[in-house]
Amino acid sequence: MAYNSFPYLCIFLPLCWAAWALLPQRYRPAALLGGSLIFYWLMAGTYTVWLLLAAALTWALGLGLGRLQELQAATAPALDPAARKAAKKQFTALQKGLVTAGVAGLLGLLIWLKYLPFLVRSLNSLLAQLPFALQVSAPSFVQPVGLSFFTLMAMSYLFDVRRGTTRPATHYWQVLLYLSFWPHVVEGPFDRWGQISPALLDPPKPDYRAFTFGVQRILWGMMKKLIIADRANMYVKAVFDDWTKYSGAAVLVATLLYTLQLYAEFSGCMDMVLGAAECFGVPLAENFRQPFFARSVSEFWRRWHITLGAWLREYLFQPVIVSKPMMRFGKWCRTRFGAALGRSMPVWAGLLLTWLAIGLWHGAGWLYVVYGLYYFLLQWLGELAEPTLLRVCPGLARWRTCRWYKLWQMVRTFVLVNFGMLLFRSNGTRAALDMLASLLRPYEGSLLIKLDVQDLWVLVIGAVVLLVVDLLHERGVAIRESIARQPLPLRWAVYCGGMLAVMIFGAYGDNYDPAAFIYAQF
Amino acid sequence: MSLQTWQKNLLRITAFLLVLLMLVLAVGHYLMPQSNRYLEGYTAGGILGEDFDTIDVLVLGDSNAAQGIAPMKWYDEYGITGYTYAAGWMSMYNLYYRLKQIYEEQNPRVVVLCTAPAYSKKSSESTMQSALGDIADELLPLLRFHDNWKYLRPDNLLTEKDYSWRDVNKGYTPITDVAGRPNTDYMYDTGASESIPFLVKFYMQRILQLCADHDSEVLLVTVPAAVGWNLARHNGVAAFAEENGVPYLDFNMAEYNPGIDWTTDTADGGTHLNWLGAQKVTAALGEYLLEQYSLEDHRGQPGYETWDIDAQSYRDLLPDIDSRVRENAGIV
Amino acid sequence: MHTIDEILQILSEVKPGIQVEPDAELVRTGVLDSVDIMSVVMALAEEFDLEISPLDLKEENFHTANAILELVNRLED
Repeated sequence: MAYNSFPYLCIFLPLCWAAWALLPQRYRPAALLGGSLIFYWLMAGTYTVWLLLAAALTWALGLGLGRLQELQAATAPALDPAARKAAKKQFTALQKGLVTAGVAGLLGLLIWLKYLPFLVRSLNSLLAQLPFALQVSAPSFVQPVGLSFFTLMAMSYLFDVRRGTTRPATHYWQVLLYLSFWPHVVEGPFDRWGQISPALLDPPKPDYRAFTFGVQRILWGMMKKLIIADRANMYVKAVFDDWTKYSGAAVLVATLLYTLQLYAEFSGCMDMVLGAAECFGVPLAENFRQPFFARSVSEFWRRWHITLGAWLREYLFQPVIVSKPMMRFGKWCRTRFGAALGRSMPVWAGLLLTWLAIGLWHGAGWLYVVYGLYYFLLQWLGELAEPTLLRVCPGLARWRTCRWYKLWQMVRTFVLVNFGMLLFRSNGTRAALDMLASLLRPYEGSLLIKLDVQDLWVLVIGAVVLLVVDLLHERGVAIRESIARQPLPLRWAVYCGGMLAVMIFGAYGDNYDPAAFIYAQF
Repeated sequence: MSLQTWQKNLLRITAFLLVLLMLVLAVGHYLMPQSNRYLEGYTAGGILGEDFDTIDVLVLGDSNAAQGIAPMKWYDEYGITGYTYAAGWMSMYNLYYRLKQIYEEQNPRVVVLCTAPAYSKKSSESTMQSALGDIADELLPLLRFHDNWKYLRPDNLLTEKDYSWRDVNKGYTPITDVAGRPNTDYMYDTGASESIPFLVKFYMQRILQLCADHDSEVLLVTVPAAVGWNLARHNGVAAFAEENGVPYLDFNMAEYNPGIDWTTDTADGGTHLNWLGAQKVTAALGEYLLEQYSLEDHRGQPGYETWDIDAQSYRDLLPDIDSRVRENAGIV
Repeated sequence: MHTIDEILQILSEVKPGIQVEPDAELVRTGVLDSVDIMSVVMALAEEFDLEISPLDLKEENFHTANAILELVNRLED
């Protein structure tokens, strides 16, 4: 069931909410779990087994970690300092073992189901260089829905239990609910166990305001997806799927429209998902924070798909850099290259690893490696250039506080991000290079590709509306609250207007292709 | 009387939904086309321009029927008044609701239900999705015609809609293109039977019930289609026909084949017929109708003046269509 | 125990040109981003021979120069 389909919005959600609201408090989580499992089964069928297994592994290891920690806390006071230190070492090693087992299982599952064909292909192209014929083959599997999401969430659960920031769940169904919760299982966000388990396991009472605000947020998401994203997709698909026919302005417009499409669609999906969860009192994590107001590429990635960046920063980037091997690498660098580089090189290594992870998470292919590398290079060169820039242009620090300079930074970031989007959407590394080159060739044909003038106007107006809403959010204005304070006729006019807008201007029906959610293939 | 909070909230939500529904219906009305010519694909919308209670044979179908059955030929030769209400991608869900609307103005003695809509489905959607989408489109015209916002003009809001346009060919669209295919057997037995999806079958039964309520007889027909029809589907429909006691005439079967020659009679390689093929099917179906049902010859009768006028226009246009399609087919 | 000057010294090595008060907000004002924090961590680990765990890398510990000082002193114990 897609999040913007009739069955989901008009049958599944209302039924779940009714069940959830009418059940006594103790059984409310059962409604959430039941709904999630039905939802997942409808989408994944027999592949649900992977989710069930991942949840089982995570729950069991979490319990194990919890027991070890309890044991350690219980036995420590009775020991003398030397014995306590030895015991601590043992407990740490055991916990490390459990976490490693979890990561091996979960990451291994992800790699096995998602990356195996890519690894095999790459291995084969290397092997093809050898003087004798040797090729490897491996079966390719169907990825269960949300694989890239629930495996990472499960790992974050284990890491958090290991670090002691949260207590493990006692029952299997609790972990299963956390991982399978239908709003976030398909496209995220990556929620932390500590953030949402209270609301999942001990739900708040049904609240009219939460319900209506949630529905309003879903409506906003629908507007973004149906009016803007699905419309832009017609143009984008035509150009990117058939890139040799287009060049110059057509490719430029298609790239800009793709950025608009991806933002409208992904953030719109997040609105639908967070709105749905809000109806049930579950606070899922925000994934977008007005990304196009970012003034650097690294800030962009702290405002776009926030939870992915946060996950990688907290569980990959930081731990890798403070790990013993990396510290040793740092020392080695210091002896060879001096103190400054000795500090920086491990951080750059961590940064490279993180960007490659971001790239590869999006897809199993060399294009995604290039995508990650692109952003790494931008950030790395930015870091390298910084001291030189400050020396050459001492006024820079002052300029950076000026409003016009900040605007320049936003425009610059926007341009860089759009190049990244072109890379990301193209049909492979070769296609990406071709399209980049074609930007310089003028385009002779009409720019009205698959869309007529009125459609383009809708897109322009849509983009402006998005910009205004983002501006209000950036200024801290809470839009739903402001509308709720207005008199009833005005409120209802706004809500009816929104629904009518979706019905009238939505890009559905025979004139438009249905566009599946982009991030759901991950 | 004092209400509990949750009751007040429920009332508020219901009131809001009612207001929304009224707006949706109102906006939908204004987005509907000004002329019935554009109410549906091909020339199906023209049925609303026909005089009330003149149509005796109503053909329901999708693009196969719109390009395959030419009712004006019956009127010209036997005086039988027929109309082909058919357009691309019509589903049984669509046809049920359209039939209901047609019964408001017409009282056909025979309803010929073409079977292609039972199996056609846009591949990107699931059966459930297309069912819900089609039914929603029928219940809320706003969803069906929402894209007309692009063509909306101020006078749309002020002038009345004009649903008096008539189609000379009574819902049929003569196609003169020829793109043949070899006359291979496409109805060979694979031992399989493709049963009609449950929801589709449910709506077909609703159509049968609707016809029974209006004293119309039902005849199931399959227009020749080399691409898109096979024995498995024939078996599925035959099973339905037997279950529901409805006669079934499949022109793809050898014993009923009206002499279709796929090298000349198709406009697009076997999916749809052109004028040459349509003539044959129409003639065969017309003969069957005359034999099985008592249908009046309305030529010259009072109340059928528009039919006679249209028949004359049809006869005037016929030679040109005929010569064009023969030229394309390489027949003299 | 270490002094605030040592911390400020390290900060200026990592981000040349930085001039902040011991209590000035570093993270939310964007003076230190996550990459800078890691560079500071590397410098602290190397300068004071500390073992830093991922748990210590919380934003609260790097908000101000004073917070960093507290972190360092805590880790030394």
